Amino acid sequence: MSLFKHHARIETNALLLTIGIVVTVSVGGLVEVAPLFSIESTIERVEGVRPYSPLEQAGRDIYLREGCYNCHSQMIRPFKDEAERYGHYSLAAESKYDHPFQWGSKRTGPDLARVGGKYASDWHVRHLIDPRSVVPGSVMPGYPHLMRPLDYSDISTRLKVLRMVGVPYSDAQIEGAAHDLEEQALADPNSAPPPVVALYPKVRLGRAVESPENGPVTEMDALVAYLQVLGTMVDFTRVDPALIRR
Amino acid sequence: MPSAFIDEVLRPFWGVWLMGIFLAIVAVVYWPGNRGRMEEHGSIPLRDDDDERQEGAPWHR
Amino acid sequence: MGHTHESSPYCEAVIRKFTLAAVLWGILGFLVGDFIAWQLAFPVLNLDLEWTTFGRLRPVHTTTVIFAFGGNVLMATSLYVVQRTCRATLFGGERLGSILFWGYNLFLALTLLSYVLGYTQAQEYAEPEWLLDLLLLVVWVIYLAVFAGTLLKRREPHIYVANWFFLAMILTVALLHVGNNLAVPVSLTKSYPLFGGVQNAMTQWWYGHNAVGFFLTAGFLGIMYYFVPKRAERPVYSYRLSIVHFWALIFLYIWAGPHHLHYTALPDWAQTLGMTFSVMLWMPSWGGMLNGLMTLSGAWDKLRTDPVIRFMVTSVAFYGIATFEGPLMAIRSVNALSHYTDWGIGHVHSGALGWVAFISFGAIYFLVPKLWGKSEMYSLRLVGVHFWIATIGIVLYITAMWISGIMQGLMWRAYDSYGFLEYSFVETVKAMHPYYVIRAIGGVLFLTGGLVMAYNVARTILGKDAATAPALQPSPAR
Repeated sequence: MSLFKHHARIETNALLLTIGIVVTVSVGGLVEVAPLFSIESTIERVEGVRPYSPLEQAGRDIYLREGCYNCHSQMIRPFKDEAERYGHYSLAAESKYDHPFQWGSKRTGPDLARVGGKYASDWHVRHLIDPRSVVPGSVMPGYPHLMRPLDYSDISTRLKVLRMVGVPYSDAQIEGAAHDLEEQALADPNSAPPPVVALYPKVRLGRAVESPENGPVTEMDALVAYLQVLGTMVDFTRVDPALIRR
Repeated sequence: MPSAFIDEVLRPFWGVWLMGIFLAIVAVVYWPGNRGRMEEHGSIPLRDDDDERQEGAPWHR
Repeated sequence: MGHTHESSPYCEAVIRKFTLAAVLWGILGFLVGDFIAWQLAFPVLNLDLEWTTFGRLRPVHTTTVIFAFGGNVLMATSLYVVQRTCRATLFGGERLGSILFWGYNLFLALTLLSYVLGYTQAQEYAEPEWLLDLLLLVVWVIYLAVFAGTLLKRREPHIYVANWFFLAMILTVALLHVGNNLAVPVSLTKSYPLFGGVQNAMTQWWYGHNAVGFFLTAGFLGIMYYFVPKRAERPVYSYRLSIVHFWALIFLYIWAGPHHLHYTALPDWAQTLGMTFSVMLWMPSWGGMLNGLMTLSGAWDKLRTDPVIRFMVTSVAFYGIATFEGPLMAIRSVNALSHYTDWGIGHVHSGALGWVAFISFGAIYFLVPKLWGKSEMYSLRLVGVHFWIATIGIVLYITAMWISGIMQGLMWRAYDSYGFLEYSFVETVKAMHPYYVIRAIGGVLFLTGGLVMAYNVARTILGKDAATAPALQPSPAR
């Protein structure tokens, strides 16, 4: 056998092995993952799901930053006990604007998919600063640092990037993001609703924590605004069960 | 169209061709005539390093 | 590395670096893991500081043990094995190997620091932000080049099966890494993933599950297929079975991801596929386990006399346990109970501590004397001590998580005689406390074992004993 021939055979083997591996591991991905992007029934048609308001999105980014998904799921399964504990099971449509998704994999703490509106904003603030002051026995960390001012200098850019990956923000929503954020956070819940309500129905108005000097918007304001909208966008009293059956 | 081919042929019959490929691999591997050659490969780790080291490893560059 | 062993024809300085890094990262990973375990038992340990909360430290733990400890072990062993079984020096030599080593470990250090500071993609096991993802991609391509390049220049006509597993690991991890980290940057430190919602969930668990399947399973099976025969001084039980094992495993594994998403908003057909393939995966997994265990047939006495073999064989047994438990938990009705509970954490750790870490310890104990030119570890007795401390630690860990996980699942769905949910959520949290303490004690034992190993490794390297290896190790028949 000449050296050259020997060498050629060797290279063919390594190449065949590589191709074999790539084909073998690609099949599963192609057959299983790819259809999810085209099949109509993947995401239910329900009304009410909207992009997050700038303040909610800023709060969501804090939720991501602090790694809340390590202990809290946002995915209620269709079981009787979960329905009673957390509410209606989660629909794919409800997280369709979530980049990234935060369904989670572990419930060291309770599911948060429908935590919105369950507790007063003031409760959330006290709970986040010192969990055991309101829930004795909780093992959640305290987050006193969230009382610092929120940095939302790039909030327009964030919304613009979210639009690039498929969240339908309008030009006006992107350009006015910082203004809308302040309007939502600093609104007086007792006066007439500001225009941001029209852009983002059901937003929670006002500070999470009473601030007499009307100081800057805090990270706490943003995070609580996010928590308060979770699971509230779809009105399940008006959803036809037949339409969402999987 | 590769995607049409995947949707219409590969996906519905994945069980068939998966099984076919797998059985072919098993057949080749367990073909009686291949036994000696196959099992000989198992000894590759046992004839490395220290033997070579002593022989001065002329192939080493 | 001051050591040069001119007698070795292979590139070994780089293997030495990876081996040492693996030991150090391992200890850090176990330490952080145990610290966050104590946090769950005593939340005051979160210290009310943003950098030390469980939410930020848990990714530090997972990344350190999987990618820092596991990754350095994989690189050390794969580059050692590929040279020896191919009878070829490393492609790119020590220089490219060194670039790979520093590149990979720089990625790790920056990544861990970024988590503590709050920079994260918030996708489990894929937390590094986009810039670090790019760095890892470059490093990984170098890894592929070094490994595949060595395969191409081999003198041995046949590619030994351990290299198949390593190659599958390298290629698939590259595929997974790219597929799951597609994102659009907002700034240097922030990005949003291309996929959202259910598509993001599916790609994430396609990634997450196959990170387990290829990084933590295929890669470490490569270790098994070389180091078990080598230490036992006999060929693998059935080489033909190993080939069937390989193709069946890599084919079936890639489908199993959806079992992480049972009863979620993922379409049912995908869940069913995931469950089916997960259950089928049991067969090749046990085929591989038997192949590893039966390699010892006729030499079972080594289990008693050689603690290094004991680590390896026990790891294969844990592989068998974890790959039986996994398909079981992938069955939808079982998963309804186990999902979201500590049972999942226990399952992962029976695989991670019992299989991945133990086979790694075995390989490290095999490699260190070889790489530093000694005849054996400084103390085989200490290897035995490590084995027993770590084993007791694992048993405490797994049993605590089984109990707490099943208890949690049952408490969440318990109804009282009036038809109301019996327990509030926080009552279920309080009920976990004793098991979290036991688990953390198990972690202390496992960490202590790691420290014993580090001491033993250090004494071996610094010891004066020169290699007389050929005389002590009878050459097997050619």
